[in-house]
Amino acid sequence: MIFDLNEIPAGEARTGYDVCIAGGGVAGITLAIDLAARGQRILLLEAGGQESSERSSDVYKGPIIGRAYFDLDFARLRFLGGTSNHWAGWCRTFDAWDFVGHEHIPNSGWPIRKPDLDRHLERAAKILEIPSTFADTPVAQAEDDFSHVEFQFSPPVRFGEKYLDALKASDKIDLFLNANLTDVRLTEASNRVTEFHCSNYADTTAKHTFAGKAFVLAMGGIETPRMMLNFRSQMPNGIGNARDLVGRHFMDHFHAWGGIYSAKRSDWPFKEGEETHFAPTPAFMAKQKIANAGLRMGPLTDVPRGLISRAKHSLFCNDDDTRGFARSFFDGACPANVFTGGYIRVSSEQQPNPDSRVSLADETDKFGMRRAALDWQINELDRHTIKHMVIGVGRYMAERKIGNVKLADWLLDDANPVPQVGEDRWLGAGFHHMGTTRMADTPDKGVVDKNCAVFGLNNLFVAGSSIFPTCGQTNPTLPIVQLTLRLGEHLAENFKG
Amino acid sequence: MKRRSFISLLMAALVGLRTAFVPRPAAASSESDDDLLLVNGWIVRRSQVSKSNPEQLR
Repeated sequence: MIFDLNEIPAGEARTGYDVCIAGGGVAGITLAIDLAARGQRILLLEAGGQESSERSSDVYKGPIIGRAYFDLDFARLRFLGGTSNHWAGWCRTFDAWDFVGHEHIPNSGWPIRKPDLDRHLERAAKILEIPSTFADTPVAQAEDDFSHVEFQFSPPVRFGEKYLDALKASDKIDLFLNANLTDVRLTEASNRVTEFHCSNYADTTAKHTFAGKAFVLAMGGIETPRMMLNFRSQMPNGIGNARDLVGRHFMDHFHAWGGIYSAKRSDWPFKEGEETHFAPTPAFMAKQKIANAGLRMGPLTDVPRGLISRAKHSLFCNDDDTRGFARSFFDGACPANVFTGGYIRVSSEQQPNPDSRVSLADETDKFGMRRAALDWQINELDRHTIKHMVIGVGRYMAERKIGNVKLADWLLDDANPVPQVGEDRWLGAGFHHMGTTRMADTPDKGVVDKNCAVFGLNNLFVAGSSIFPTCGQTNPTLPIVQLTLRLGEHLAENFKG
Repeated sequence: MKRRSFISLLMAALVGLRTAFVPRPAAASSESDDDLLLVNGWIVRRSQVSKSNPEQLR
């Protein structure tokens, strides 16, 4: 059933739910559908409506402090389906390497391993409408260093659209739209959650109360920590924040311009005109002491249509850099364009850094909750990773006489500043907000345990990419769905109706 | 396909002519042609660097 909280006056508490979920995005909808299928009675709260609206998006606004980032209400969408509404559909699982702690990557390591997620791969793939196989292949003559990694592409699934009818028809799920979480109430001992409090846009001070056995925060990698830090009515530092870890270790995948490549067409072993993906092998990452990364090489210009245009493209260098390369290293002669060239971009895993964080701004939103302030940080390991991926591929190409790589200027000297988002269309991040309620074995290292339960609150759970302790090089949606199905299994076993 | 083949043949012919008429520099005895250098940001083999442009080695 779907209800609009804007049309419901505040009144008696709605109780009797097995699981109350805040957040109607990828994780929240996946969890609601999964648990309802297991016979549980579910509350699902979505802060927006079925479509984007200014009144809802405004709540996502907040200052960027420190390093440049995208506007927070641009990088996220606050309506049913959440950020799946602007998802591009890239899917890949985490690598086994990603779960292991590495000495050269401070704060790395998960309390679970890849098989714990792989158990849920088949079902997650069906939800995202992708094949469940990833046929990675070694890069020929660089087998020890690089692999071609395979991504799968979702249509992409827009969760609000795909599951709207199922949510409407379900007698196990109560979905409330326009329901903005304003407080999480605890027992006197502050060791269990008892209620969610919400307000609507019609009356931002009204209090709607919902109660159940278990509670899940599934609002995204910035909003979940923002709300946990805001809930101070019973805990002075916010809930789950006794160790000052909520909001810290914010990560995104840093997309950086790594340089260009040039090669003789006759030597180029990959498909010309298509993007080629490289990822480092575990041996290469250990040898170079880098984090995980994805390197992409693709054409700067598309091959034009038409005989004359194609002939020109084939006979003359197709861009200034390639022409310059030919002049520099082939005795100034470029009698015919035998070269192909293109860009190199790297999407880098970030080192978990406690100083990269979501905190609270002084300004409040229309519900009186302090807005998120984002301080995104880039580490030396992030620079080191990108630099050595580009150098590694450059060495491989030169040694194998495939072609040559030119490093981006910012990589030539470690004293050069790391480029900022917005300086160039190639620079940026993935809108992948991760790590802010990280999973750990012990409460001094993270916010949630291996079952996604907030340390110290044994019926409050977090779903979504905020629980990733490290982020690998993969897009987060598929692992979010895998982890959410794993959480569903845990909740069904431990909070039976 | 015929158009592409023609262009490929033309390219091959031009490359062949260039290879035949432009001499490649010989490497010094203490250096290997396969040494990798960083020249103007490019990662190149020593054999790719023209002796007529020694400043490129800096």
